[in-house]
Amino acid sequence: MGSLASLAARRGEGSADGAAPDDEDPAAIDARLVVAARAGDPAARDAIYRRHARMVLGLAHRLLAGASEADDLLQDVFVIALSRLDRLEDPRALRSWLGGITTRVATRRLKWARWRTRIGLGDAIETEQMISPETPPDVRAELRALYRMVGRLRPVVQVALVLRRVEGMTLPEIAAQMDCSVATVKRYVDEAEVLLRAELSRGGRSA
Amino acid sequence: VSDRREDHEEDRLDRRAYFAPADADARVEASLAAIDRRLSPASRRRRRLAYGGTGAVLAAAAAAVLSWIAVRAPGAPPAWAGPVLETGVAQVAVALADGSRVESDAASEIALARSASDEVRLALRRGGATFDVARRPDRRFVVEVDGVEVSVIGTRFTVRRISDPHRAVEVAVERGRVEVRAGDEHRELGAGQRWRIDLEPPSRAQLGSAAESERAAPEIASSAAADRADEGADEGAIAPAIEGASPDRSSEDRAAPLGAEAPAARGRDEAASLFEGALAARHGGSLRGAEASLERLLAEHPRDARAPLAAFELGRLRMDALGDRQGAIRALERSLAIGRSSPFREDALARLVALHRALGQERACERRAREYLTRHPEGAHAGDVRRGCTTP
Repeated sequence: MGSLASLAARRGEGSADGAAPDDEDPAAIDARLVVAARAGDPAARDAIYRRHARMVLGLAHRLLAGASEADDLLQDVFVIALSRLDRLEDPRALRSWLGGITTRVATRRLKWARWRTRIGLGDAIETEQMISPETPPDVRAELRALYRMVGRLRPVVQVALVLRRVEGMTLPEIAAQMDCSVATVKRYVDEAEVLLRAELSRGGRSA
Repeated sequence: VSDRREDHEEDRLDRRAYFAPADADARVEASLAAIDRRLSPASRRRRRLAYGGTGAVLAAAAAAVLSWIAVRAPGAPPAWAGPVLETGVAQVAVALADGSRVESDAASEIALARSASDEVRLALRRGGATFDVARRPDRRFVVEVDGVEVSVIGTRFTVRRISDPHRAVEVAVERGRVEVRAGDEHRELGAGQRWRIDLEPPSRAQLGSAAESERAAPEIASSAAADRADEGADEGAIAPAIEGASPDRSSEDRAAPLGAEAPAARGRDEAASLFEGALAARHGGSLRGAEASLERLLAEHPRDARAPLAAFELGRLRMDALGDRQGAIRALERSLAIGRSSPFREDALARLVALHRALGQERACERRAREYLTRHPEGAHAGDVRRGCTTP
């Protein structure tokens, strides 16, 4: 387990999202960690968390439009993932598998939030201040318009839009994360893009 | 695989850095301990007991509405999960992500209104709790109760919502200092100090009407009509909102002809009143009153947006608190029928599996278990559902 311990020790050297240094194949490291974690090595589980928790928190934050529930979602995702590592067919695909779990759990939470809003229990979230001050004006306008629509879109459409316009995923990648067909994703994205354009034309591009 | 990913990443419209979570490192660290606790064998046992235990345990637990049930355990408390913590006959201690600890009294309800790096905000809706707040100078910790706000940075204090003989809020500080605001009044309390704020006497009218309706409650109306209402609510949700109308308009508004706004609004108000009456009755200890209000809502407002949730709540109430398993099955089946896209379908299916299993109805249990595992193979209750349908 010495190599795993060194991986865990190197956990702070990766990118902002916890990825491995450039000279290592991140997928290969993930695969070794998954195998070790399945064998019960706590250091490997810890390393998996530290390598990917920032990615999961970031994705949760953007899917939930900055709601404070992102921390709960981070916990839920790793509780699910670490207790079901044996079901991960390709250990090299750990990162996208975690992304898929995050997307599905977030969608479920958005559905709950929509219901709470319908019955008058919803909370308004001020997203404007969450957009980085470094954001170029055109991107800021789009993010502002996109997150203004939050809560009015169907949860699956909202998720597809965020994955497309904020995470920058391709349609096949989104389909894999949402566990549905590419055609379905295209329908969601098309629906959202029409509404996004309308939102932008209604003032989203103004300061 | 990695080559393809790297190629793709060069082309991405990647805006992740422009909408990134604040204090990510601290939040990741704060969640690690909570995940460890939730993954511990003892924690899994506790959750199994809370969800799928015997009827006696379920009746005693009086479970949480939208939340996970925690049972007090020796040693480190389980992590708070879900938006609401509600306790039955036992006290419950839970840990928050920031390291603070909440020790809820029995028969209490606390909602986690906000959990962010700069503020944790809890709403005490019923009962009382002691809060052991981890000291973090950059974060406010606020407890709201009936318009009274108690805010601290790091301390240990107790807040109680009192309803008899008069509504009041009591704050007692064991350690540190807290700031209490009640309308225009503002006071700082130090260790050993206590402040009781008297509020208006409670109105009993709502509880009374809910209790009276119990005997007259008609049975549930056509599921097909409500099914259409549910579909309509989904399809129509975006359009009026994008045009600037209220996002809270229900399917009843859209179904109403021109000039019929007033009756539609009245129906919505009545449905809202019944739903809130059910919550008030349940919090006031009138479980039968809560049941009657939910039944009336379903019978008189089957197209209201609250109907699927009301049916789910009715099933949960009968299953967890009233010990009426057959009635719970009817309500949960109803919830599934009228809320085809509702977020609690998964929970309703899992509960049906548990109910049929407890009643020895193996075929029904297996049918619902198959449906659950087909729809939610990675679902939160998949482990419990896979236990099979043999009566314990």
